[in-house]
Amino acid sequence: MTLDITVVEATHTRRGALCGRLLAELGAEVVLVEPPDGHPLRSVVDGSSRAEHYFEAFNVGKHSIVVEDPASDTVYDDLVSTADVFVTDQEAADAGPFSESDVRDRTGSVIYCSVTPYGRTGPRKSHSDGDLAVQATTGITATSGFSDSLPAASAAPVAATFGAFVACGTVIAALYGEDANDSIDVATQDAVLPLLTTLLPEYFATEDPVGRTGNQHPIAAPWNAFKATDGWLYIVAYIDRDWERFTEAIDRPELAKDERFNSVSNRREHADTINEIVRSWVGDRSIEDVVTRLDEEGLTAVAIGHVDSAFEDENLIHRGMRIESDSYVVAGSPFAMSASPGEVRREAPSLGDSAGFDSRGDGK
Amino acid sequence: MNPLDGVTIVDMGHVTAGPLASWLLQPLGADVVKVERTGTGEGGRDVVSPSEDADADGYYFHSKNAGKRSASVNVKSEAGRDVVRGLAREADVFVENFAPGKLESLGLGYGDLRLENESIVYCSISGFGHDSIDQGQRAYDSILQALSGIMYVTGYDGDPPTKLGPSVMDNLAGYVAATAILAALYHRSKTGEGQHVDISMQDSAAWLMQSRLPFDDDRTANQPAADPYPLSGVFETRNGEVAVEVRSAVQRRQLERLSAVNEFDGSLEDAIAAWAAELTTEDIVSECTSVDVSATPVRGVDEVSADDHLHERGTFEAIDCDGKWRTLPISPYRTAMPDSSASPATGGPGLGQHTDEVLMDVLGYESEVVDELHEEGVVE
Repeated sequence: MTLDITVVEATHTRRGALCGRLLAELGAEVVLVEPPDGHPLRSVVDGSSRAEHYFEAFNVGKHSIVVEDPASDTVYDDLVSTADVFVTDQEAADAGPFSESDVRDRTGSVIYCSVTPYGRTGPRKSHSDGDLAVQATTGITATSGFSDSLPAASAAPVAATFGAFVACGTVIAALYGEDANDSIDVATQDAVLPLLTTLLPEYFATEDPVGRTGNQHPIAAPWNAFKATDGWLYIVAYIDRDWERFTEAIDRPELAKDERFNSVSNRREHADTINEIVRSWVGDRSIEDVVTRLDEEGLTAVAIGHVDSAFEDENLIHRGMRIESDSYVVAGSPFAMSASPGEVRREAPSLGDSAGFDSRGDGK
Repeated sequence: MNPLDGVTIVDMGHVTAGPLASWLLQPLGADVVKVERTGTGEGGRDVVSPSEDADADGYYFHSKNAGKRSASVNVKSEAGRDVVRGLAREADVFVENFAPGKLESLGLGYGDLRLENESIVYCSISGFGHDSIDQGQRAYDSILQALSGIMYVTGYDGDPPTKLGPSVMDNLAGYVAATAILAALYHRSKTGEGQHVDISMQDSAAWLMQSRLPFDDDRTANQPAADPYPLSGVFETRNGEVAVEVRSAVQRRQLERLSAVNEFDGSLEDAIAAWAAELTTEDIVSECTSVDVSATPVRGVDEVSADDHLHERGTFEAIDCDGKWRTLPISPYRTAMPDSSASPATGGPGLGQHTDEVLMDVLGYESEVVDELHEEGVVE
């Protein structure tokens, strides 16, 4: 395993829990510090099997101890004083039991990593917000969805996930670097800001607001979602060679020579007409018919899937990314590394399963 | 000290995920040498903006390549491949995001470069992995969004499955790669061992989406999917839109009270929608905040780029890009671990701007040899 270290994780949201999960995949012994009534992610969802499944997704590979009062708990104090890394996601990181000063009072040499929406500096520091808010405040929501509909939020934990990769990476950078900064301040907003780099240039050049284009690519066609008789497909065939093959696939080779469509920029200009052409061809066919026909021409078309079908994909399973127990499915580790691969090593802990966890010995 | 001081990354990435991975790491102290094809350079130089404004062009390239050096090498020639092999001998990390098999066919795959440098960390980023059962599938960001399930948990009831505007899957693979490279460097520092890091967009997307597995994907009028939270969504106000997130039953009751749902014939969502439509975004935010419910204005790109908080944190910085000042995002790996000794950021390199210095300083070539390589069209 890559990381032979102990991590104490005092979190209450998805962003911090995902960071702990990544460190566990890379070999760290991650001890989740839970209040007596359990981590909030244990109870956010109604229904016991769903609640358990949801908790698993964030916490496989970890240990758990229950700490009622960090100020007086000697097991907690012992654990923190020997930890290599302390991860928290509480917003008010300046004071209180999981603050940097409190943790450093217990041990000087720890890498302290906070994962918060806006970071520990700047006007919005310590402000509490969830994923939806960070998506909204960073321009992701405003630029997603259809121009005639509300801006589209996503229920996927986008900001938390990007933030978790930054947090895990910077913790390792601090372990790796000589005399590196050991106080890490991850803002999930910072983590997702680079996603805007396809949209910022338009704004900086024109100072016009950047709109939403739904599923249509802003500068290429065909590049859109289309409805077949039994569901939705995504089709990309915008380069010259693909467009030519596409016109053959739909039995309208004359369109390849049509001067409205004979270059990438002309097709972009006439994207609406192209969308109509594709729509009418796809509209009375099944997904399978369309995919099979376009596949024969070496074109790119896929059924738009739900998350459960994504996890049934043969290639994903081939790569060990579907981890299945009796009651749940979670993802494997995306760290596909030939010498020290990431790995999900155990189920999520039951509450307090490692009460006697000893970071100096062989943790349970 | 910067954690990656002394680390050299050879970047044969193009457009997004590959260049992004080394861009994320460069401000931690790494010396990143881009190896680009002669003539046009990597494809990211040609990314155009929808505005068709010349000022906008180039922004994308700078945003993924700030702070790097560029050496322009014709890898179709044996002498050019020798240059790359030489760089691999001196490098700690090699990053590429070509289709699987492409660099192997040029004799620049992991198996080849490991012969030059046994401890090299060779990171490949591809749509479906080098170890994959289907090498033919092309991997556009939109295709990965379509396959991952994210389009059914984004947007609203009545809309088609909806993709996120930003290229979330291209970008995510770059972040996974950057973090995996750090893990591989750490592993090497403990064991001396190099390795092949095989990052896949499909794997990364699955990791992002896994916590949606326990739920149905039913979207509603205002929220992308009901669970896990009791209510969350976007509502139109008198002067914009606001994102509201309810994370507990207590918060839900507060919203019920505020929006007077009891006097309303319909769902809580409908009640909030009617309530929000009467007020300004600022009023909604202030009323919700007063009862501890999260409410955030939906901000456009214009507002984000002028955000004091981001500028104060150094997340946005004005950078001299070849004589033109551009406001670029800074690597979140850098803002998470600030270091006052870090050198100021510079824009992306011109094509081949550092070819000669790389050949002479990194590879130790004599200037006559460099001149010959230029004459033979091996480098530019």
